[in-house]
Amino acid sequence: MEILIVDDNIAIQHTLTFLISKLPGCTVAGRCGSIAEASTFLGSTSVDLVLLDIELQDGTGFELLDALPDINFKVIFITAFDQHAIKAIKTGALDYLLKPVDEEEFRAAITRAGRQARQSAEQLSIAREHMSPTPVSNRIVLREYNVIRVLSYNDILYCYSHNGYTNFFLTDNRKITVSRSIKEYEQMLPPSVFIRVHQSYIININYIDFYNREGFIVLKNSLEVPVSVRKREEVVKTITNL
Amino acid sequence: MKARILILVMALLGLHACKQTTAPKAATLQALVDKKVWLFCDSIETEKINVIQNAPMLLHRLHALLPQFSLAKDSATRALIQCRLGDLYLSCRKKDSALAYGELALPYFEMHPDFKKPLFYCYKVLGITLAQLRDDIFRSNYYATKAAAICMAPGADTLLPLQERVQAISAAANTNTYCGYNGQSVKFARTAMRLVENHAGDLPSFYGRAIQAYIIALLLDNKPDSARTYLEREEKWIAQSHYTLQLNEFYTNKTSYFYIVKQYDSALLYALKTDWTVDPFQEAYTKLELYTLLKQPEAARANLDRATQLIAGNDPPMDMLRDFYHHKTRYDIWYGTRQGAENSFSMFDSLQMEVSNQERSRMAASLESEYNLGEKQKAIDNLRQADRQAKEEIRGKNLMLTITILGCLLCAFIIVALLLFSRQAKLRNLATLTRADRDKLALEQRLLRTQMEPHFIFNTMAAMQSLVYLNQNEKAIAYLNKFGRLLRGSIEHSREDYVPVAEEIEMLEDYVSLQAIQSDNSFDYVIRTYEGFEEDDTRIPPMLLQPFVENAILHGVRNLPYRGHVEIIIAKQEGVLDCLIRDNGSGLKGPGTGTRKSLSIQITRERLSALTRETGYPARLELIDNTATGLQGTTVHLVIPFI
Repeated sequence: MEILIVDDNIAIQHTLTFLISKLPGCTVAGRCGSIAEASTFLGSTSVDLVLLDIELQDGTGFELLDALPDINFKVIFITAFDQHAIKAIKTGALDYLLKPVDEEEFRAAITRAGRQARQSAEQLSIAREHMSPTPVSNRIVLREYNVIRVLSYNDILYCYSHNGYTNFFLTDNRKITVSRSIKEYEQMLPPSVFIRVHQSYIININYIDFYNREGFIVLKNSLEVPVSVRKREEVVKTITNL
Repeated sequence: MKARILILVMALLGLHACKQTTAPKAATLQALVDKKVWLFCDSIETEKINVIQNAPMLLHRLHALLPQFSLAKDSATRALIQCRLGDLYLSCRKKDSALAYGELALPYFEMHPDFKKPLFYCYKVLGITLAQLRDDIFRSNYYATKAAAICMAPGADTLLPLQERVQAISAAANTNTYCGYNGQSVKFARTAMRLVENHAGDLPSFYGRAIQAYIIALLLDNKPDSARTYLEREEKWIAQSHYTLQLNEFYTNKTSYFYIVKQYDSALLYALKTDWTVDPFQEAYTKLELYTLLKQPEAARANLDRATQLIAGNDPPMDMLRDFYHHKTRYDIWYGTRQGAENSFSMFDSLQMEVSNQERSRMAASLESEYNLGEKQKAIDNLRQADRQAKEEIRGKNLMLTITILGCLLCAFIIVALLLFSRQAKLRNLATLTRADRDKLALEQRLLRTQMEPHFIFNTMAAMQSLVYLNQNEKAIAYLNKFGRLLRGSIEHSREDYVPVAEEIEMLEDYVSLQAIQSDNSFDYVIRTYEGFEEDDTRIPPMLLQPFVENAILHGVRNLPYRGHVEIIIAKQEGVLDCLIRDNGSGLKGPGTGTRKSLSIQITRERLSALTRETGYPARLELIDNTATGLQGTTVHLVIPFI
């Protein structure tokens, strides 16, 4: 697997080069310290995977992707500390690494990249949408095994967490199970539309039928969702503000 | 402002209260009556003028006054004059005029019963004149009783002179006697008697009138024993005082008393003492009766003849005539013929019938008039009540109006107060807001100035990681030491407002060297300081220079096509540290000028101005684009006042 490193930190470049060299079948196609450099490189050279720093000297990693006419490589993002970007990447169901890079995580990410299909343009554009300081997107990407699903917030009725997996129950009665914790989705999904009413439940507030004071919410499909005691006040507030 | 409004409201409330309390008091008669008339009437009433002596003059003056007060608003004045006139005419024994003026004045005072005194005079005048006229005894009794009631009401002793009261109550006793209300009569007479009891000497006529009225009342009420007591008292009094004006009445009473107790000889004795010139007919038949009863037919006969003569010559009242025939019948039975007795009896009988008929009709008429008077009184009462209701309504409306106005004022006051409060609250909020903002800003500053950028921390660690991977362990350890020192300094300084310049410079050195390693030593740097800074106790706020150094490295000298260079110069001057941070990058117009940078500039400016306020030394922050002067990079000029 031909891998391009795009990071303006020389030390990271060294580290990543070293880590890649330890992986069989992986070679460093090149090392770039800026978007301009990477853009030129990718214009002439075809690679399988780009390890892309989000914050570069002359712009963000997404700007590099925007600058390219065709993205025919897989992307793993790298960041030292950028909560907002991480959230955006997660919403696009894209992969990322944190600095300093943990070797185990790195290996797993590379392996995953090798196994999985290339991310779709939609994933990237959704992540891009969420990267803006005030996201206007109403979409989220879910990765179910090898299937990528793009959902509009309106499609989601509620989320139910079970054994570390998150089950998305959709308005068309489909169920999507994702191997991420409900906590991650709580962070990703906008609080203007979704509310975590229970340890195991996130619901779409647009589909609330009514709130029963005994402690559960009835959704428009007549399903009763329990509301944890700690959340009741917040739920009532949210409902009355609808 | 608030206090002023409060005072205003209080003043209004007070004003209102004053109005409320003074309003009813204003309605005294004096206020309604023309002042001149009031004084004049008052002087008559209190008998500063000898009324009887000056009656013609007073009447003349009052009559002259009357036409001056013809308007509706003068009704009180007019009524008072009329009332006075009635009383004056009564004093002059001009019954018809007294009656006329009493009747004129009465309606006004009946409508305004609070004016007790004139009302009393009206009642008295009417009661006495009507009684004297013997026209309508029930009406007279009605008025006289009313007058007496005023005299007997509590507080009357200060309202009216004793004479007036005695006169009125005695009159009431008499009128009740005429009406046959003997019990009532005794009551009034007794009251009059008690009033005048101790004034036998100074008010003989009133005393005499009262005692006589009482005696008559007692006699008629069939209490001859009590009557005798008073007769004896009267006799004693007459003997002592030589007051003889009522001697005749005394004899009449004595006669009546002995007649009643059937001591006819004593009765005759007093009847003979009596001067009967005013009523010879009564003399005749009284003597006839007494002589008859004493079985002296000749004397009786003489009186009978005399009476018969008088009947023929005069036209005595029916009841007297009846009494005469009553006595004559007895005489005829005892001394006369059977035929004469029969005639007398039939005469008596028909007279009795007539008298009773007359009495009945008179009674009916009187009762009717009394009823009418009662009705009138009721109507007056109704009117008065309506008037009172109207007044109360007006008062209520006024009250409502006042309440409304006060309510409005109160509302306005509350609104103003609320506005003021809310404005103050807003201001306070604003203050707190700005304080909160300031706090937030301070916190942000604190964080920004003291916290190593997370990026820097993680990138540093990543750099160390790479050194380890590359087996540059000594470098890695040196790097780790520097990083540790920097981190420790950062944490320590985060708690301080001022730190020694030496420490700050050491941290800057560490920081720059770590950055240099991260960027693979792609730039040179030099830090020039003044001599002896290591031992200097000069203190400055922490992390003031660091953001600019960071900026010079990240946006100035990193990734340059040529070798970068950063120069930091710190010089000590009078009260300030003069610092220059110079790079040879692309200048201010180059890439990487973000919001964070401008924010850090703003924060630095605020920190510097705070420092100036504290020390009094001028601070300075200047960003100079060297490319504008044909040179390379950016120069930041910082002047930091120190402590």
